[in-house]
Amino acid sequence: MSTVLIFSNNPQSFTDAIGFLEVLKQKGLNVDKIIGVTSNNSANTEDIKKLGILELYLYDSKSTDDQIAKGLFQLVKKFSPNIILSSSSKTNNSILAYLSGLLSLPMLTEISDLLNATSDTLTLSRSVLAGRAYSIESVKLPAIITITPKKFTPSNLAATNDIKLDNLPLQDTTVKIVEVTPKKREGVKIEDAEIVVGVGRGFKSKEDLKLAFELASLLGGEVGCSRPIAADLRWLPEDRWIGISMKKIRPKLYIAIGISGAPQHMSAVDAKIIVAVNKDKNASIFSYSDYGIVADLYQFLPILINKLKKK
Amino acid sequence: MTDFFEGIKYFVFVQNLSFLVYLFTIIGAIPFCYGVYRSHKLWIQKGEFYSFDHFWLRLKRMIIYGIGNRKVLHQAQGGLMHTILYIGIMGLFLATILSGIQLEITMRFFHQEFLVGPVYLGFKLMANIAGILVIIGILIALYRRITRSYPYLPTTLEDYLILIDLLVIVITGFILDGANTWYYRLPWIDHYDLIGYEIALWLKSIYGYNYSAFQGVYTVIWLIHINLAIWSVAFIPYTKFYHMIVGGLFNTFFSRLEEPSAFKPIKDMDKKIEEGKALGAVTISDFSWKQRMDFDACVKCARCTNACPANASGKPLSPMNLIQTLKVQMHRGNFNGKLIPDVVFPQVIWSCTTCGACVEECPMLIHHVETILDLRRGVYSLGENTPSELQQVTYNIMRVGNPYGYDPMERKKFIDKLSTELGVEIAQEGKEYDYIYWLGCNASYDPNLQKVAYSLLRILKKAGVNVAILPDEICCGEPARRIGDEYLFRDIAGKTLENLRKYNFKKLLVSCPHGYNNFKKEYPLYFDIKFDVIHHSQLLNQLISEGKINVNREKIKYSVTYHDPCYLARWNSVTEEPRNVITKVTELKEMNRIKNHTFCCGGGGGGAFYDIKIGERISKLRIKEAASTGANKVVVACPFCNIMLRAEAPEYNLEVIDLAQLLDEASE
Amino acid sequence: MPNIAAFVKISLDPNMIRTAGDDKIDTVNMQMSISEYDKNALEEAVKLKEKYGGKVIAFTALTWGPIDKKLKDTEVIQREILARGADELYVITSNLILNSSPLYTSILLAQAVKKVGNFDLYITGESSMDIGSSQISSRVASILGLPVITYVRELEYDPQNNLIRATRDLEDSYVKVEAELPVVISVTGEINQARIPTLLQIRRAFSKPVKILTDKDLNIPEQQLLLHKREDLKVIKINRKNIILEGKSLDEIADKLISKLREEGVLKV
Repeated sequence: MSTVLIFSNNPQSFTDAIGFLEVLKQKGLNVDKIIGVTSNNSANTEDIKKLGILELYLYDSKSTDDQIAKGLFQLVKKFSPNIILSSSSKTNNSILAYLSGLLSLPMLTEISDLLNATSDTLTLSRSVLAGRAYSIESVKLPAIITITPKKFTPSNLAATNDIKLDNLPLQDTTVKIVEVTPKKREGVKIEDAEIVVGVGRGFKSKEDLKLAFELASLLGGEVGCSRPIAADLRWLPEDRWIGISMKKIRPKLYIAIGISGAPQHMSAVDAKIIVAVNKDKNASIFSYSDYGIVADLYQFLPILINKLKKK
Repeated sequence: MTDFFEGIKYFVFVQNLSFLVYLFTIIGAIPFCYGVYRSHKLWIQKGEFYSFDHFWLRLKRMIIYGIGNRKVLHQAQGGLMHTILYIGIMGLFLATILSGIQLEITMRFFHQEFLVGPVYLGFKLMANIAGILVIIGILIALYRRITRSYPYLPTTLEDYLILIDLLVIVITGFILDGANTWYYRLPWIDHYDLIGYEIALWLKSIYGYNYSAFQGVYTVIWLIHINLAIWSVAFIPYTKFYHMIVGGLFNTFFSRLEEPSAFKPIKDMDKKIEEGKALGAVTISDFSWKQRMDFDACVKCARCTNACPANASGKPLSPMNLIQTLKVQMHRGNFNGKLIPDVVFPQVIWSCTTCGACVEECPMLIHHVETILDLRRGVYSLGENTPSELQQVTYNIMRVGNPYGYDPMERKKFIDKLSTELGVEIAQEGKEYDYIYWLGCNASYDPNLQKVAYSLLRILKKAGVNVAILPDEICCGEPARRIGDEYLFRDIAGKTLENLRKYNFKKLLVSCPHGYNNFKKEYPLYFDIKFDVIHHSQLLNQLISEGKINVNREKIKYSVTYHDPCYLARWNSVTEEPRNVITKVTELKEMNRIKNHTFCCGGGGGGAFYDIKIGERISKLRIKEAASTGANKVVVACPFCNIMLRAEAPEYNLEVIDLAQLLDEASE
Repeated sequence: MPNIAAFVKISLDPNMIRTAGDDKIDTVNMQMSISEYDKNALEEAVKLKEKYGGKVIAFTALTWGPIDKKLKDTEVIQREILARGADELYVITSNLILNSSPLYTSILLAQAVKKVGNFDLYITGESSMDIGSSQISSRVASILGLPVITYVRELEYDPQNNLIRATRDLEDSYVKVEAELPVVISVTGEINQARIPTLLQIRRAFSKPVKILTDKDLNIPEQQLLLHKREDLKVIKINRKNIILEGKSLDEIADKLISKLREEGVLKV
């Protein structure tokens, strides 16, 4: 086992990748040399030194995916790394997939688990079929792998004193970046939230929804809603509408309040734990839930909110 | 007393002008005939002709619904007005015809009068009463127009002119009649010539016996009378009077004889597809001659619009306005222009729940829903102006066999449960069953409605009914048909029949009235159906009356109201069976709008899958009505009603249950 | 517009999971469906065609076997691709791509478009809904020697300069780019609302051609060994607990709920 190339458009990937290498080491595969590639924008050499990276190649953050991939291609030719690693993100995947095409190498994205490693083959697991299944795949090295962010955290870092800096060779491209607009973060992204409080027709007025918002902010989550709230009553904008044709969510915890549990709504909820609060004991939401509370939300929510405040 | 035998005096004072009546009548025939011919040209297109099949049945329907005004009295105030006017005008019409026959036939050819003596007295009395009725009718009509006491009744100048025209004809008629009585001094006639006699006395008080002084005035009044009368008739095809002929006679005689809820099939569908043509109606020329006649038959009475649940909930649909819009396009000669979206807004046709209230109410037997359906088929086949939610429904049906897109595996799990917990038999080929229970998509997948199927099967098992359920079901096709996807409907109906034909059973038991109507009335439009179809309310009623289900009233501690599903009550007249079942077990508190005049839950015609988001929800209006009865629960007999009303019920502290669940709870 | 190649995957339908035995995904019998974002890609291509002319040729690589069975099972879906507005469809079959490895799939797709003709725009969805590798657009681009623009949520064509202007939707920013044609792009689900074809339109699409390309037609370099292999595909089982929390008071129930959620490790506070 020799060289690993870690590519990242952002520093987080380095940590993820080092964490992955740690697991790899546990499985008996050692790494001699780590080469890093990142954009000059996100390069904090002090942080990167701590990770044990020996050589760091930088590229202009205004480079396009094909330019970066072609630059990486040169590096790969030079160093012949056994593994090219990154954490899974839109940009990282795009660039590395381009590289894998240039190299005719296998590539696996969104790896959540390393099951087995031999000197020339890794066995990895990734989530497929919209999170309903997982796939176990074996890949011959050299290979390109992107891993699910924050899945692998390194426990001990072998810092290097000396890091060699260089520029990634870049060629011209026919793609021109015109403008980069950072995303405003106030836009709700319930599909990314770890905790979602879902509101339904059990709420009698728009004002009453503040109960749900209060609960959500206490839990550090977002508020989503069923169809009638967004579509018919328009109490909430459509980006909070959880439905088979609207937003699909994958939180750890989903708390459905005053939601009857129409399958069109529930099939868009893929949560680890589902809690339901509904006063109709026959409501079908209870068949979809882990924990059910048969109660009037107007009585139950204030009590729950108070308890959480005290914690 | 020789006068006693004198009859009608024709053309008093105006003997020398009598030719005008003949002249005007002959000239008047021209616009009249042209008007009818013009309509004929609008209705009938190349390759079409009126249907004269089932002649006697058609005649009967014309007599009952047209001449007999059968449906006119459904609406009290307008019905009363119309009946009074109608009888009055018919009386006057008859009087005119009789006197004309006497003058031109019996006197001319046989020198005989028949309107003499007691007959003449009766004739006079009838004509007077008729005239009085017309005046009363006009007054009620004017009241309705001026006070706008009937909502959505469109009032234009024509409506007033017509009433004034009638009023002038009748008043001048009375004056002429009074002058007649005065001139001929017919004292015996006073009791019979009610108004005429009073006018005679009045004229006498002014003119004494100086008849010649009155002659000029008489002539003017006479000219007004005959002109208005003759030209009013001559121009019937151009005024709202035309409804008497097109609506009252033609449209009832030529009325569609098929079941009202067996919406017309597209007979030449494959040919049209082959030729790349749209299905249904995109332009006026795509409608049938009968539908175009419908447009002309509409007299804007607004009964449809007042009965329409979509309209009541503030949706942009008014069946009357739609028909009138199409009528205007037809009269403008716009036969080949696209109707949607410019002439008819898409929201109009997508507001319809196909509940049939308009069809139920229409005195002219217009089938609004079929016209709406044709328009839907038109846009659907073009893939334009169709809500994507509804396209998703047909896409789901096409891909996975149910409108919601549920995984068919879910149904398998449910029938396994029915089989293990209740011992329900899953149908096998070669075995004989009395009933196959068709669960339908709702009871197959929706957890709330699975409970209905569960209760129903538990009752049936207890009652020892030989029933089985199918190992596989796909959508029966009803939603696809109502949405306007006829091609998909025929495709899956064919597959469903193929599935059903594998099994040996007597009756298909259905707990969804939409499926019930579909199997019973619409499958035969394309296929040969050999089995009977029965709704679970009918079977449950039958089992109770046979003593196979024992109920204990004590078990039900609450009162209920019953919501008639459109597709059961209105379209299929099943209204007593569910009530019999309910009253066996608890108190039934009726709502105002019941049986064939039921309201709607908003779920039909695609409404369960798509809400137009304008105005109120129909379901909410209905649940309010249910709550006003003071009942604790709303009993339904339709899964769509169940879904729609259930969503509203908690706000009114009501619970929605199916008839089968009620009976299950009450059975011993 | 010039000619567009759309890569449209016929995926396993994640809403219709079937297992063979206990938890193994039954890829042979599972229902197939057009991959969600590829519908958007096709829609975008068809919209461009409707506005600027040209042709949309769809390519689908059949990545689930057995080939004969799946070819037959997906006949309606193939027609659906045409009903959505593609002018022609090429179905690529090869044992090499069974089990959906983007390595081989992209090679075959690239070979296929090279064989069929010159295209000015290549378009596909950001990822497939079954395997979701998110690699095809970039891989095909690099094989064809073209640049790639991924995660496009807004697309414009400038016929004067033969340019496309696109907005990429990345995690933390929107990036506007301009590119000369030809180029390969992948689109997000937000770029448009894909039309929903009816059975009637699918039937009418029977007049359009569907052609099968096998690896014999495609002149594939022989692969010595499989570099990437799917070993197993298993369902993640979720069984809801269906516990109704009860107690003497709502207070008690609230306490129970909070402690349960802590036990599950889903409560941050």
